[in-house]
Amino acid sequence: MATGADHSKPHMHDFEAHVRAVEEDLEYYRAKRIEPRIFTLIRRGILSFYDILKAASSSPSAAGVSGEGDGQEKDLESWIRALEDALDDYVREIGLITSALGDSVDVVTEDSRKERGDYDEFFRIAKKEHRGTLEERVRGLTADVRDYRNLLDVLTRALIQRGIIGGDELNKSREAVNKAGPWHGGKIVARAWVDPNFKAKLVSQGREALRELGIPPGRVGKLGVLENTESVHNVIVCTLCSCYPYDLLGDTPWWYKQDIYKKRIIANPRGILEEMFGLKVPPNMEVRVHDSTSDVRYMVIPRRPKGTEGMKEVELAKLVTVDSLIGASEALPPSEIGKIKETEWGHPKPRPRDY
Amino acid sequence: MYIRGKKGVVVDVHGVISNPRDHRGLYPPLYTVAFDVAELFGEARRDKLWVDVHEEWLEKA
Repeated sequence: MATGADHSKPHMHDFEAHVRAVEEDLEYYRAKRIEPRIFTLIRRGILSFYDILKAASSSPSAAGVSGEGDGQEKDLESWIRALEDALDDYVREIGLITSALGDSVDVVTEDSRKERGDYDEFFRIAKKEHRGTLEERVRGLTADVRDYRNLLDVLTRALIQRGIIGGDELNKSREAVNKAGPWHGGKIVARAWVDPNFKAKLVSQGREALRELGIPPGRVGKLGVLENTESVHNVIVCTLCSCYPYDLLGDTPWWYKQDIYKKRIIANPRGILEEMFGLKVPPNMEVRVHDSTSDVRYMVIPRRPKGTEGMKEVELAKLVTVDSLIGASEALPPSEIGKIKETEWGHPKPRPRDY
Repeated sequence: MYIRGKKGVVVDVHGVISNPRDHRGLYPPLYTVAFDVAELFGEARRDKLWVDVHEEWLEKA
């Protein structure tokens, strides 16, 4: 975990936005991803509350971030970064467990949506409110992440004890994920900018075209590819369920999954792009919003920034942000490499893969 | 849903897509239908909304 200021990273300017992003994401992953999955396991008689209790009592004391007194970083910025790292670990672990479960338990995405109350509010799990000063919230979030991760570890133990998932396979998957190379999103767009043949294949074949980049094509529906041009600016949304090619590109920022984006971007695309992201699309261009389903999940190829002629693919990939793949921003100009613009809406960085 | 009763133009035909990870069974064929944001939400905007819709929600205009 980070201790002291990390001078290799750009300075954090908007603490509030970082903390808000953590709050939203943490609650999303708890209440929409992992806890509904636990209910499914219990409903189907695959696991019981008692298995979980037994695993809890047979375990060493709460793992997670570290022992008592951690989280008291030297300064608020380091503390928030440590919190974000712990959140990323939590998200990654959820991905590993649900992926391992996917092999032995028949659960499709539709089931998960029902279980988490997407179609019926009755089933929704209440989100926790985070109040107080910035520091109080960071302190509270640090404790929450530790608690939530603790449950995850106990759950894993229970599943292994019950023979539902294998401990060795889980460790192997964890190693593979930790070794995972650079973010696919940047890789794909950089190649598309540089190689028109690849771009054409990407548009016509979708996922299959990714094999040539060494990226596994994934298994969730088809990939729709939207190229931004001088006349059309594409932006994606999934009003019904927040679909996105997660398995290829990692996770979306928290706002993509919320009504504050979903309900407004379709009614006032240009206005919301400016209000939320400071993106002003010229009046002579069309803004084209794509409302997707789970069967075809879209990514945007942002326009190649000026002044990038002759740049290597590896460098070009750094200009691509998660926002630009959604259409919420342009790709970064070369002068801005590594400096993701901070907005009120948080600092989307490539999240761990969701399986 | 917000496109109920509205007219759009089919701009893409995706057919029947097998997606066993997301849902059991096959859904009807999928189409992309283009609408004017102005017509759907009543403002004078030049923006478009391309909505992916399964066939059972569509009627020939």
